[in-house]
Parts: sequence; structure tokens; C-alpha cells
Amino acid sequence: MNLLLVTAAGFLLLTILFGLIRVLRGPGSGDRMLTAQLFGTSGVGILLLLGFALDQPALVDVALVFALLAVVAAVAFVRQHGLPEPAGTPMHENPVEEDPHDPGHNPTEKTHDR
Amino acid sequence: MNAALLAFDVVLLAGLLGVAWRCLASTDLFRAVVLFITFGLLLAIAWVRLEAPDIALAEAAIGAGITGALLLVTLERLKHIMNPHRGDAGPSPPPDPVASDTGNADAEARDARDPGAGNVALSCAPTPARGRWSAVAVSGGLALLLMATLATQDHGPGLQPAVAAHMDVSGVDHGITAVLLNFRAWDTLLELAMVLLAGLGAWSLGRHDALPARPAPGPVLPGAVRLLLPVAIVTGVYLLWAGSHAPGGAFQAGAVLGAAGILMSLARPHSLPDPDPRLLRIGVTAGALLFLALGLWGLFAGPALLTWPRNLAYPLILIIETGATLSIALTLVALFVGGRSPREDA
Repeated sequence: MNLLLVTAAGFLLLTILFGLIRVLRGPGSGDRMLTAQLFGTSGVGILLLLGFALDQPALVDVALVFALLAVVAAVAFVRQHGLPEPAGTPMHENPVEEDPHDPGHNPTEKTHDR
Repeated sequence: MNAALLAFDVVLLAGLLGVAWRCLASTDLFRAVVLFITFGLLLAIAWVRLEAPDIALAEAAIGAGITGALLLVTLERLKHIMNPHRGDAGPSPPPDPVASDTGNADAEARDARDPGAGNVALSCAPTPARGRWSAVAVSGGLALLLMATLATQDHGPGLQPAVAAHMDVSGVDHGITAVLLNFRAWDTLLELAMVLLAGLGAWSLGRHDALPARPAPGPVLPGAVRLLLPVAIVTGVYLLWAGSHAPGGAFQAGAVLGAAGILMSLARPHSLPDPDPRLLRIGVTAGALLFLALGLWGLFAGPALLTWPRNLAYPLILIIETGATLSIALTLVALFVGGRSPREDA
């Protein structure tokens, strides 16, 4: 039974290494980022399988943290590479001065960007 | 079973080395960031295989939650700094008299050719490989030296028996927490001071800009954040509480809560209110100051500096860990945002 679990974990590890081809070749940023997200899912699987195979219940916590926080990089990616930037991107704006009810779409003045 | 585990370890090691090499050798910075995220995942699994689940937890929280987002946002900010006129004028920027130096001109020309090319290493061409063979020889020599050292070292139990013998006076049931917060509390205090110093260093560099963020229409992002934030907070508190009897503790809990704060600042980059600077300073320093104050109190009430009276050890450790968790989480978010709050200069 444990042999089966370890073998399954090894297989998932191999799928990660194969998935690296997509990270290395791309072609787009989205392909690379989605591959990293897929690695996160495989990693959760590996940790759970190893946790049961090696009888280390703490690994479930590690898997939980991974599953929970893998999304942070995805959110950061969507925020940087999502839709094209609107005119007058609020990059150099003072956040205090901005309209608190409309994140992202606020028509900010362009004086600082020019 | 053992053969399967050995095969797993060999594949894991090969993957770690390969990913590290491609990450360092990559000229496309975005690809290097994704490879670094992958490296963190493999590294966490490697810590698991080294039977260090505490470090695996910390690596999972820092690597998955914080480093990836930090590097992605830094990359975007770097692109704005190197080429501040990108995005204003769309894919074909007009010639700008300000962008006269070659770095900017190169970057703009590249952007004009291909809007996605901003990810290519920002304006520094890869240096030609020099001394490659001597580098390989030096690394090989170092690896041989390391292997020889490991082969000749006797694999004794280290300090494990000593820790196990004194577990009953430590106040907790998990050996690593006992070492970090009781037997070697001095080290942990200095680590907290180091985290504080990093936060102060970032603040001393100046006021932070707004996070670069594009609009994300649709219900997915707000819905996901609304679901994930409470779960992340519960997980962080659980890890803090679990530290007394299982892998977990202040650093892991602080990293998870810090990642939750980063998620929130990413989801609402322009509408997030700046915290009261005074409260923020109290929060950032609370961990180290509380630790130091209780350690000084131990000088009078207990046996020595940074030691706890036996019957009070558990509540004291819990108080210290709570303060440390708060400070670490706040400092990580402050490091991510990167600079003083604009309200302080106002």
C-alpha cells in the first residue's frame, strides 16, 4: 500500500518535470503561469501521498498551506498581465487621493506619468 | 518501498538542480520568476524528505504565498521604472525626447516590435560565458569536498537526546518550539529583530507607490478573496496554536497571515485604506519588544535572561508567539507594499 502511494507521488513528480517543458518554451506568460499553478496542485497531491505513506500527519498542514496560498501568485499575475492597462495607469498615483469605490477604473490624472 | 523512495529522492534532486540552473540561466525574467516558484515547491518537498516539516511549512507559505507575488509585482514595477512610457501610448509609442539614453530606446524598440517582449531581461544583454570550465571545476571540487566531509562525519544523534530529556520543563510538547522559544530563545529574539530591521530598511528607502494593477472585471477575484481570506486567517491561527505540539509556530503562522494581507492588497490595490502609522509601528515592533520585555522579566522572576518560570512557560510562549505572528505578518505585508505609507509624509 505504501509502495503504491510512494510510486504515485513519484509519478506526480515526473509530471511536474514534464510540465517544465511548458514553462521553458512558453510561448506566452499565461502558459507559464498556468503551468506553475498546475505544479501547485501536483505538489499538494505529492505532499498528501507522502504524508500518508511516511505516516507524517503534519504534511497535511503543508499541503493545506500550499493549496491555500498558490492562488496568491495567480492573483498577482492577473493584476499585472490581465487586461491592457487603461489610459492613465495609476502606477505613480498617490493611493490616498483615489476614488475608493472604483478600483482599477478610476480616471486618474496623468500629470505624474508624463 | 525504500527503493521507490530512493528513486523519488533522485528525481527530486535532479529536478531541483535542473530548475535552479534554468532559473539562473534564463534571460526571460518572467520565465525565471515562474521557475523560482517551481523551485520553491520542489524545495518544500525536499524539506519534507529531510524530515523537517516545520521548514517545509515555512517554505510553502513564503514560497507559494509571498515570493511569487513579490517577484511578479517587482518585475512589473521594474518595467515601469526602466521604461516609464510603456502603456500610455499602446503598442506603438511615439518617439519621446526624454527617452534619449540607449537603455530606454532599446526597451521601447523591443516593446514596439512585440508587446510581450517586456519580459525579456530588462535591458541587459546576457554576458558572454567566460570561465565556464573553471566554474564547473570549482563547483565539482566543492561538491567532492562536501561529499568527503559528509562521508567522514559520524551521524550521531546531535542534541536530540538533550532536548528530549528536558521537554518536561519547556512548557510545550513540540521539540522545535521548545528549542526556538525556550532553550534557544536568544536566537529567535534576534531573528525577530532581523525581520523588524528588514521592515525598517524598506521604510527608510522612501514612500511607496501604488501597486501596479490592471483591472480585473468579473466576480471571480472578489469572490475568491472573500472565500480565501477567512480560511487563510483561520489557517494562520491554527498554525500558531499547533506550534506547541506539532509543526507550526509563529513564523509559519505569520507567513500565512502575511500572504492573506498580500492577497487583500492585490485584490483592492487602490481602495485599501492606509493603516494608522502609529498603530502600524506598534504592530511591527510588538513581537520583538514583547519578547524582550518578557525576557527581561525572566531575569528577575526566573533563572536568567530570556528564560521562563517553569509553571508559566506555556502561557508566556503563547503570548510571545502571538505577538511575533502579528509582527511578522505586518512586516511581510509592509515589505511587499515596499515603503512608508504616504500618510506619514503628509
